[in-house]
Amino acid sequence: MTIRFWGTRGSIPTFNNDTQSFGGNTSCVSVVDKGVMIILDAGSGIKNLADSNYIKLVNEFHILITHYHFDHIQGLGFFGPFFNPNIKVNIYGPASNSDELIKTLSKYLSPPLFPVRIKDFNAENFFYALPKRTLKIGHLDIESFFVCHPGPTLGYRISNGTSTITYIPDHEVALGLRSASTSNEWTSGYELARKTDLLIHDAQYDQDQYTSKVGWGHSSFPQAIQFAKQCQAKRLYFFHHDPMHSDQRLQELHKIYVKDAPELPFEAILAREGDTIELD
Amino acid sequence: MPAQEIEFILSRQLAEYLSTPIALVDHDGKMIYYNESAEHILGKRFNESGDIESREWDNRFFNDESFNASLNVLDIPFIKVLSVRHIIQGEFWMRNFEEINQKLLIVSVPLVGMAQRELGAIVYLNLLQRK
Repeated sequence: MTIRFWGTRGSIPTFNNDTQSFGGNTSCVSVVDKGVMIILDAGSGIKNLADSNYIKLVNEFHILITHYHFDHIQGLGFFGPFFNPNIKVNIYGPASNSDELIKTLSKYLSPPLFPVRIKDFNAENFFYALPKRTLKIGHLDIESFFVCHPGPTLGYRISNGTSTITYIPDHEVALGLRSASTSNEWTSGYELARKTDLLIHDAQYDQDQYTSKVGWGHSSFPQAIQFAKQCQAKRLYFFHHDPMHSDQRLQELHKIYVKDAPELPFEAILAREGDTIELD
Repeated sequence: MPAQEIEFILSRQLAEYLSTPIALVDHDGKMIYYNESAEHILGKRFNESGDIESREWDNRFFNDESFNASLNVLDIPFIKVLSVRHIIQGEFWMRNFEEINQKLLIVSVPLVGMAQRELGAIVYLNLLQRK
C-alpha cells in the first residue's frame, strides 16, 4: 500500500516562503494498492495529483470526501480526469438530511461559484452517500464513521487485509470531554483508529491555541498524541497544519511534543506534502 | 465493545454538563448512559450499573399509584418510543432501584442521526412526587 500526501494544510491554501517544506495545499492523500487508487479528500492538493504520473496508474478513481468544508472539496473542479470521457470517477461523502450528495457538491460546482456545472463533467461519475458499515473498493475494505467536527464529518479506515490506515483530518476529539474521555467506547473516532498501522490525524493547534478555539472542530498536538495512544496506533502523522504555522513553528511543535517529550510508543511525524509512505 | 455513534457521544457530553436528568437509550432499548441528575431518580449510579438492559425495568413502571399492574416492558415510554418513532410524553409511577416509589414525567425523544439513522432515544426524566 502506497500512501502519498498531496496536501497537508488545514483551512486555506497557504503558500509562502515559510510553508515550502511542509506544503501549502489543503487536504488530499492518495492510497494506491494493487491497481486500486483511493483519494482521500479533494483539497487543493488534488490538482498536483491530477497533474502527476499517478493519474496514469488507473482509469477508475475513488474519491472519499470527509466533509464539505471548502478546504476539503475546493480541488474537485481542477481534477483533470473529470473531463476525460474514458474515465470513471466515484465520489463518496457524508450523507446529509436535506440534499443528495451531488446536490451538495453542485452548490460549489456550479455558477456563480464555479464556471462549469458538475453535470457537464465528461467522465462517468457516480455518487455514494456514507457511512456504510462495510464498503469494498476493489480488494480494499473501507469503514466510515461520523466523528466530532462541526457538520456531518466522516473518518475513514482502509485495510488491504495486511495493513490498515486511518484518516481523520478534521476531528475535535476532546470537545467538552469529562469522564467519557477514558473510555474507548465513548471516544469519537476510536472505532476507526483502533490498532491502526498508520493514523493521519488532525493536529491543527498547539495547546494554547486550542483553549481559545474550543468547538471549532480541531485537535491540538497533545490531543492527537493522546488519541493515538488510546487507540494503540503504530504510527501517527500530524495533519491539517494550521495556516498560521510556518515550517519552523511546526518543527518547534514537533520538538516540544515529540522529541523532548517522554518517549512515545509509536512514531509521530509531521505530514509533509510530497512524502510517500510504503506499508506492507 | 464497539464505539458509540457520534450522536450518542455528543449527547452524553452535553448531558454531563446539565442538571436536567437525562438518559440515553440505544435502538435495542438498552439504557447506555444516564447523567448524575438522573442517577438520583433511577436510584443507581451509572458507574455502578453500567448499561441497563430493557428487561431490568420489568415490574418497575406503573400507570397509577396503586402499583398493582406493572407496564409491559414494551410500553415503558423510553422503549415504546423506539417503535412509534415520535416524541412520547406522559406521567408514570416508578419503583426505582432503591425501591422508592415516585411519580415521573417522562419525555422520550427519538434520536435520529444524519442520513435518517434510527439510533435510539434521548429521555428526559422529571421527578414530580416521591412516596
